[in-house]
Amino acid sequence: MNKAVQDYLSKNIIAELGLENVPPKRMEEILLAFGEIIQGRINIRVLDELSETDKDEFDKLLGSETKPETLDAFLKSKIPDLDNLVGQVIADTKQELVEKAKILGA
Amino acid sequence: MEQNPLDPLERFKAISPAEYKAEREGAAKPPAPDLDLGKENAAVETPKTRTPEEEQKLQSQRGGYTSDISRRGEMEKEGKEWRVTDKGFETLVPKAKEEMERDLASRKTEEVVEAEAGKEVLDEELKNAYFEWQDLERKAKKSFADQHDSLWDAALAAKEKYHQLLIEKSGVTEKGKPFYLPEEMAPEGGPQKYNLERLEKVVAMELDLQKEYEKRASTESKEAPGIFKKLWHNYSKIPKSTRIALGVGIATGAFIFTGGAAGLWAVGAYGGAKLARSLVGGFVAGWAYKGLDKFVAPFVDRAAKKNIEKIKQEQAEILNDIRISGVQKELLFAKENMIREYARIARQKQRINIEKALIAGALGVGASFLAEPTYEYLSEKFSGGGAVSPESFGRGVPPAGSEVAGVPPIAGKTAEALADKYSKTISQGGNLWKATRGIAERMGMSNPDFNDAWRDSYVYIPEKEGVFHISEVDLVHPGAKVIYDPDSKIFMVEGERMGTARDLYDALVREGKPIPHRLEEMFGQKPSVVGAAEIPVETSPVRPFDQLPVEAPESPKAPTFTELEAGYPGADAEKFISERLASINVDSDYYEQIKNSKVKDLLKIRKGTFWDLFQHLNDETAGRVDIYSEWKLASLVKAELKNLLPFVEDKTIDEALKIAAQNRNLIK
Repeated sequence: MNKAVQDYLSKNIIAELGLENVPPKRMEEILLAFGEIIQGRINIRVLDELSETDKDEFDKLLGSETKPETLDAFLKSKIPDLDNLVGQVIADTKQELVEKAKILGA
Repeated sequence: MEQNPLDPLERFKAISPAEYKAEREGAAKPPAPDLDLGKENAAVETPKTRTPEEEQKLQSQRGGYTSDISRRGEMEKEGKEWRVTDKGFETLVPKAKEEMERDLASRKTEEVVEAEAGKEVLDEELKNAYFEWQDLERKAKKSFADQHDSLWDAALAAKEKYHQLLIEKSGVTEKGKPFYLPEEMAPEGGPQKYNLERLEKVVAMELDLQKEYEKRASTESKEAPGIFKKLWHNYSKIPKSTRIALGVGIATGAFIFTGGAAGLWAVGAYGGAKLARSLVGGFVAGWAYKGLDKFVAPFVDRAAKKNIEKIKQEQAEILNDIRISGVQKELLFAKENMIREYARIARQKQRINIEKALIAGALGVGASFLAEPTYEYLSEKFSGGGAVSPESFGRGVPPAGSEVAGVPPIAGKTAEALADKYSKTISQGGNLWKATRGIAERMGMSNPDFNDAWRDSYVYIPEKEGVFHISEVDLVHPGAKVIYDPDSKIFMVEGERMGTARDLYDALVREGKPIPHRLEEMFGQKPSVVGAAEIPVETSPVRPFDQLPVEAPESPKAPTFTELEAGYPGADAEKFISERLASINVDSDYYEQIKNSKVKDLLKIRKGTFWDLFQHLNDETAGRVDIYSEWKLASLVKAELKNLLPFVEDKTIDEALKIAAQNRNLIK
C-alpha cells in the first residue's frame, strides 16, 4: 500500500470537512451513507477482479449459509491483494468526497 | 401487471354486472365462475328443508349463518362452495373496483414521485459523466503497463469533466463559496447549516450515482446478476450501530482495516465478525462522533493514560485485525467522559479569563452559574463581581476574594469582618435568595425585616461605575459566603463592596466619585455621570439569563477608526485595518480564519438566548473558536461601522472593514 493511500486512510475527513459539531442524528445519516458508498464501491471493485467462473462460485457461496470467514478466505484465494484493493477503494472514496465537498463549498 | 385468472378482483374488474348476471342465468348448466375459490365446476346443491336441530348445528358450524345464504344476501352456497349472489355482485363489485382503482392510482403516484425524486438528484448528463469517469477508472485500474498511462489520463480528464459539470449543475461559483462557521458561532442557523445541507446533498447524490452505476454493472454481469443483491443483503444484516461505526472508523481514520477485516467488508458481512460485535458495534459508535476534535488535543494526562492502558489490555484480544496508531490508538480507548474531563481542565487553565470576560461583558450584568453545576469550574475564580469590564479580563483577572485594584471600600464595610452566625455558604444548586432566606430563618428574622434588608442591599461595581441591587447581579456561586450585617441591616456577599444605597451614595460623594444615575434619582443630587446600562429592578433574585440583553456596544479604549484616520490620511486600507485589529487584540491569524464570514453572521453572536452563549463555552469550542476575538470584532462593527451597516451587512468582514477604511468620512 503506497504512502498516499495510507495517508488518506488515516485522515480524519470529519475534521477536515469541519463536521465535528454536526448533531449526532445527522452525523449518523452521513456516516451510514458514507459506509454504503464504500460498500458499493468495494462490491464493484471486488467483482471486477473475479473471473466469470469465480463470480459464479462466489455467487453460490453467498447464496448458501456460508460463514463470512469462508467467504473471506475464498476472496483472498482469488484476489491475493485484497487488503490493498479495499484500502485503495476506501482512500479513493475519502479523497473524492473531500474533493467534491470542497468543490461545492460544502 | 400479470393477471391472475383466479383472482376475484381481477374478475370483477373485467366483467360488468350485466354480463355477470347473463352468464349466470344463461348457463343452465354452468356453474358460474367461482369467484372465491376459482373452482369452475362446483356441483349445484339443491336446498333442502332442515330440522331446527340441524339449523342450530349448521349455525354453529357456519359462525352465525343459518342457511346457505349470508345474512346480507351477498354470498350464497352452491354445492360445497360459497359464491357471490346477484345482490352481492351489485354491492361488492363496485366497492372492489373502487378499491382497485385507488390502489392503482396510488401505485402510479408513488412511481411518479420516485421517478421525479430521482430526476431531481440525478441529472442525466451528470450521471453519464460520472459513468464515463468510473468506467475509465476501472479500466485504468485493470490495465497493463502499455496502456496504463493513457487510460489514467483519460480517467482524470473524465473526472475533471464530471466535477466541472457538478459545479455547473449545482450553481456554485468559486466566488460564491460560503465560509464555514461552526454551529455554535451561528446559533440561529447560518452558514454552518447551509454547508451541512450542501454536504448532505453531495453524499446523497454520490450514493445515488453509486447505486445507479452498480445497477448498470449488475445488468452487464450476465453470469451472476444477483450477486450485488446478495452482497447488499449481507450488508443490510449488519446492525445499524455497526454500520455507523464502520463509517466513523473509516471517515476518521481511527482504524485501518487489514487482514480479516478487509475481507469481511469485501463480502459485505462485517457484522458477523466478533470484532464488530465486541468493539466496533458499540464502543466507537457511541464515542467517536461526539468528540472528534479531541483527537489531537494533548489532554490526556497520566491518570487518563493509566485507565486507557487498562482498557487497552482488556480489548487487546479482539484487536488482531485492526491496526491503530499514534494518539488515535490511545484516544480510541479513552472514554468520552474522561476526555471531556481533561479537555475541561485544559480549557479552564487556558481560557477561563476570556470566557469570564465574555460572560460578564456580553451579559452586561455579570454571571454566576448557580444552577449550572456543569460550569461550576467558573466559580473557582469568579469573584470580581458581575459587571466586570471585558477589557479587564483580557489583561488578567483578580484572584478570588481580592479587591478590585484601585477601588477602595465605599461603605466602609466588608463582609469578611462579620460574624459567622449571620452567614451562610451557598451550596451546590443553591442561590443567593435561598442563602439569605436561610440566614433569616436561623436568626428568626421577621418577614418585614427580611424584606427591608433585601430591599436595601446594594453593591457598587466600579468597572460599570454603577450601583446595583443585590438581585440584579449574580455575584455568587456555590461556595460563596452570604452574610447579614446587623449594623446596616443588609445582606452582603463576601468580597464585594456593599451597603445600603444611602451608604454607597454618601461614600461616593465623600470621595468625589461620579454618582450613578440611580443614586441621583434616589437622593436628589444631579448625576455627574451616567452609570452603566440601566437594568430594571427586580424584587426577587431572578436569573438574568433568560435572554441576552442586546446592550450598547462597549466603548473600546483602543482608538476608533476616526481617531486612526488622522494617522492614515491615505488609502492604505490593509495597514489601517491591521492596526485597528491589533488595537483591539484580535489575532491576525484568527482574523484570517474568519474574515470571509458575513458581517450579518458575525453580528448574530450577540443575539440569542443564554443557551447560545452557553454553547459557545462548551467543550466543543475549546481551543478552536476565539469567542473573545469574535465578540470584540462584532462590537467594533456594531459601534464604528454603524452608519455603513445597511451597505455592509451582506459583505464579508474583510470587505466591510476595507469599505470602512476607504470611506472613513462616513463612519463614526
